Amino acid sequence: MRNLFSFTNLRNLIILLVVAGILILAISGYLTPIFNLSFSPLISAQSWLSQRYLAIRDFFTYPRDMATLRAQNLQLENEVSMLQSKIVELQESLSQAQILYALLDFARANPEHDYLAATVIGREISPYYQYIIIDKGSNDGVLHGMPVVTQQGLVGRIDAVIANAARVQLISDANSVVNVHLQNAKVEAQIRGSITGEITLEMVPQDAEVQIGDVLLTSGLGGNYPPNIFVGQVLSMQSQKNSLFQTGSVQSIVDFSNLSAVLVITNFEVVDISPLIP
Amino acid sequence: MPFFLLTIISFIVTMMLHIGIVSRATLLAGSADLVLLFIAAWSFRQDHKNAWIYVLAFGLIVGSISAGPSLIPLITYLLIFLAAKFMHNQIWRTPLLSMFLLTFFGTLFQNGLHLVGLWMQGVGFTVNQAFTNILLPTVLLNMLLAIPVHALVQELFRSELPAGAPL
Repeated sequence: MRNLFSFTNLRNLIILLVVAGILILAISGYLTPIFNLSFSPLISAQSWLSQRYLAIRDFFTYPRDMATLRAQNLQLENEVSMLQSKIVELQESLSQAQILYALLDFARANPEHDYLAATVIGREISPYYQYIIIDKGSNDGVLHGMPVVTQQGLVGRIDAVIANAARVQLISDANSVVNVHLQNAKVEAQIRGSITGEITLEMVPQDAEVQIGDVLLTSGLGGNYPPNIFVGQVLSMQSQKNSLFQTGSVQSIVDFSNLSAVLVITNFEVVDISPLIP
Repeated sequence: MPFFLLTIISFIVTMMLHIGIVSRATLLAGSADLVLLFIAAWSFRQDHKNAWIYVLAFGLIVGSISAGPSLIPLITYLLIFLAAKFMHNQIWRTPLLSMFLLTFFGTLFQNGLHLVGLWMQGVGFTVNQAFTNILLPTVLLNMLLAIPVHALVQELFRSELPAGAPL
């Protein structure tokens, strides 16, 4: 019993009590300000030390990371290039699809004809002639003389055919003549192309009242084109007192320089009236 | 690569480029004639006996594809070939000058033939219209393309006919 209350035991007990008291005070939060004050310099020192260590480590390992980053950058650049080319491809497909949808709409709106869609693959070699080359030929049922249209209007007619391609004479060609009907003036006339691709309106009677902007449709006369296909609009008119007919210039609704797809009317039979011409 | 194979492949590629791309790139209503330029540049380096047969074949092919009179490309290309041979013998030290001269006069000649052909077909046009809108732009474009086409063709056929070989 005497040993139990000896000096050593008493000292241990006091230490235990002090530690327990400090713990209780710490757990209950009463020592937080003291901890903050005492740990703050330690944390700052630890932070400083850690930063220096990381800086030194980066200094030694930087080239290796640089190489890795360069490799990753190259890989990402390749992926970006690939994705960009895919975007271009998709945009091209979208553009093509839009053209085909427009052609399909036209075909649905004009069910009296059978259509064959074709892609424009080239233009005439000489600039004096207005022709295009399409990727459908006699193997697809394309025949000489078949009319060619787009969703906007008349393009021309098939001039020459081989197995897998055909040459189309545009209505803007110098040798092309199309019989047209002026919708508002209700008169028949002709349009003729030129070597530069401009289209002129001819054979308009002097007494016909033609306004700028009047719509031209194919008349079907001559048997080369089906009737009522949109051709263009009157751009200007010239009338001379001594001449029998008025003439004018026509703005075709079809942009011949940017044709990419066309429709060939396959169920139209060209009437050859040449034996009847004296 | 053998001469005939290289020539045929080059001609086909030139035709495809011309029909698919060059003829769509117009200045006013004129466009460059890549086939004419190719034949002019190609003719400079030919010492083959039967080179004229190739020119004849090229002329026939272009004539059959074109909507214009078939004889025009044939006559133009043969004349260009003969002129190139003549110029090569006379002023061989200045190949670019020869190429320019050949391009200029070849283009004028071909365009002149086309205009005569159209006139004979009864197509109405004014000389001023043809000159301003087609002939001048075509000559300008051909002159612009003459140097790159000449350089490309010379480079292509350099291996086939190395420098120092007797011409």
